[in-house]
Amino acid sequence: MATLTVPNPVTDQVITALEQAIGKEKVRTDLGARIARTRVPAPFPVHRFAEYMPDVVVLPESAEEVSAVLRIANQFRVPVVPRAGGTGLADGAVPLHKGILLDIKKMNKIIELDLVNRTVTVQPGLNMLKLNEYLAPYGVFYPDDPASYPVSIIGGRIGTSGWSLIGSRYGHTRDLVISLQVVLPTGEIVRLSDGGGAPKVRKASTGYNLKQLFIGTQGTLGVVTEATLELFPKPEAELAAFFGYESFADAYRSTGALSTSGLGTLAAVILFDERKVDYLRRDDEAYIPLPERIKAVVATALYGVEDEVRAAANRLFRLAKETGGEYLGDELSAGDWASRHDRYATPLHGRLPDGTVVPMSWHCEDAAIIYSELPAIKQKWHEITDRYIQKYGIFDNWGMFFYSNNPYKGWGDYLVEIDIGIWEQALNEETWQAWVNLKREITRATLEHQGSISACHGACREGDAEFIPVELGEGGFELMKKIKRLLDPNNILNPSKNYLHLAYVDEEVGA
Amino acid sequence: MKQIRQGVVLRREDLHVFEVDPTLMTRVLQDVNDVDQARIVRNRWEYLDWMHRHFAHKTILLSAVTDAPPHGPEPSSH
Ligand SMILES: Cc1cc2nc3c(=O)[nH]c(=O)nc-3n(C[C@H](O)[C@H](O)[C@H](O)COP(=O)(O)OP(=O)(O)OC[C@H]3O[C@@H](n4cnc5c(N)ncnc54)[C@H](O)[C@@H]3O)c2cc1C
Repeated sequence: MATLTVPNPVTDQVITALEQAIGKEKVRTDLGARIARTRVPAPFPVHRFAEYMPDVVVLPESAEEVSAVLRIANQFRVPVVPRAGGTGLADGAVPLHKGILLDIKKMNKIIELDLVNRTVTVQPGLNMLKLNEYLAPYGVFYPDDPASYPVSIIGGRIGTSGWSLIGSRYGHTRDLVISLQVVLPTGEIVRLSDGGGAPKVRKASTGYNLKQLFIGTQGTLGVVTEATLELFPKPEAELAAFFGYESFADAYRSTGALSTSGLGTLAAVILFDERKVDYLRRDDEAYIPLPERIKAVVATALYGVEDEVRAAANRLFRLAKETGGEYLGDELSAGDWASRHDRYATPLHGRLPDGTVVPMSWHCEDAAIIYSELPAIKQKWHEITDRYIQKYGIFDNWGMFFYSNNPYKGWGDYLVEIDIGIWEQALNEETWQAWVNLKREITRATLEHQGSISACHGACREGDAEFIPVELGEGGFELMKKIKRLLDPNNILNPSKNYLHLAYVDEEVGA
Repeated sequence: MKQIRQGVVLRREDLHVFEVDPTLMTRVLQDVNDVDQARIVRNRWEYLDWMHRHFAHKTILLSAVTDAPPHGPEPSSH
């Protein structure tokens, strides 16, 4: 029978080696430091919290210190899990096998601002909000804008290959990273760019494009210790316009028309389905007054120089009207749009089937789905979710969003998200397994509709991870396993994420 | 306090503060006094204004550049 390479526990000897290598003050074994880095905001099996608590937290400040930690981990065969903001909703930063938690937040320096070539080089522990505060006086900005903008961190954005709210105008994380410094699992420090080694060149074709290999790998192939990022002129103007529709079908057609309009300043098109509008009309002050005839909503946003934004607004309004849209007003449009940069304001309560309010945590199950499949996936995901709500009574359906998903254009595939409330305090092993099964059914539906699972945050959790080999196909997943084994021979870096424990099954390795 | 629709009440007209119908809040009690409520609403608007400035020098409203009405549709009557 096949066996897995199970990592060793952290011993006193490991702690001493870490303290000697990077200094006692950067090595923490106290309970507080470990508890705070055990989970992420996604629903969690709280009844099994202790299984995931790291043994030790390290807070290195340089690539050399990260390298020293990884070398020690190899020597003693103990796992290392990189963690940035800890907001990744796919559990990438959760230590599945305990071990060393490598928190990158102290690596938060700005190394170089190059206004002539429009780049900024930073350590990965900085967040975008702080970076943009620093950049503002220079008239430039770094437009990576997740709904976790104030709390997620550049290293985690690279680790997850994040999706940005304004990505249809400015690109997503992977489009905004020009080059990287990475510490490999075995401790070597390398510089990677778009082919070639030039750190500020955006388009090259010398050698392999190794940079992209290290974006979205959930810290399984290396630890990013420096990144050179793209800068844009800070937009002169923004304009957000939200439209209401009397049916989802009308809003869906309008989404198609708006996202293929060719408007260069169009940064986002977001479709809200009937269930999302119902939920907002129940629990969100901005939407409560909306008349019942509004069944679906389309949100749009423009960014750029003022003349272009003004001109585009006219075309946008005309298109929305022609396709059945009714403007929802300035207050809702501007206010709701600004709040989208910070979805931590999402009310963390939900309703039991009888309407009673209970505290619930938010889960966003997402996938990238092509435009033609959106209506069918909507129907399937709701049907699955409602069935589990009926049976278990501890979940709540908060409706669906469909976001434009492509860099520099609105059309093509959409980031589809169903938001589900989950009453964590009521979880036990049976209801946790029900939750995982719900996720599995959603994932299967995604694959049936030619989608890509968990497109926003990566697929590291039970319920998605086991479908990675299915989505990638035999050849693709084999290659992933080979790459992992080659770079991380002792399976120390974020082990078992992306289902990569299979890379170390003895019979597959040929041992 | 005014019932807006099933499950939602309007608690403060001046600040547009809506709340879940208190009869549904038996497991979770929310007790925020008027001063705190006004502070939270004000801070939220200040925060959103700051967010706008953070992302662009200027916010343009659709009603200012097109013939779109500044206010949204009237709420349905109950
Ligand atoms: C309210 C809310 C809204 C959100 N909205 C969005 C959204 O709009 N778009 C979106 O994409 N995501 C969104 N997310 C999810 C989350 O914010 C993103 O996945 C984000 O990219 C994670 O960043 P982080 O700093 O929290 O990373 P973490 O969760 O700490 O880490 C994420 C992954 O990156 C790895 N990692 C961390 N640092 C490094 C490093 N230096 N080198 C290599 N690997 C590393 C970790 O091991 C982990 O696998 C949202 C989350 C919340 C809570």
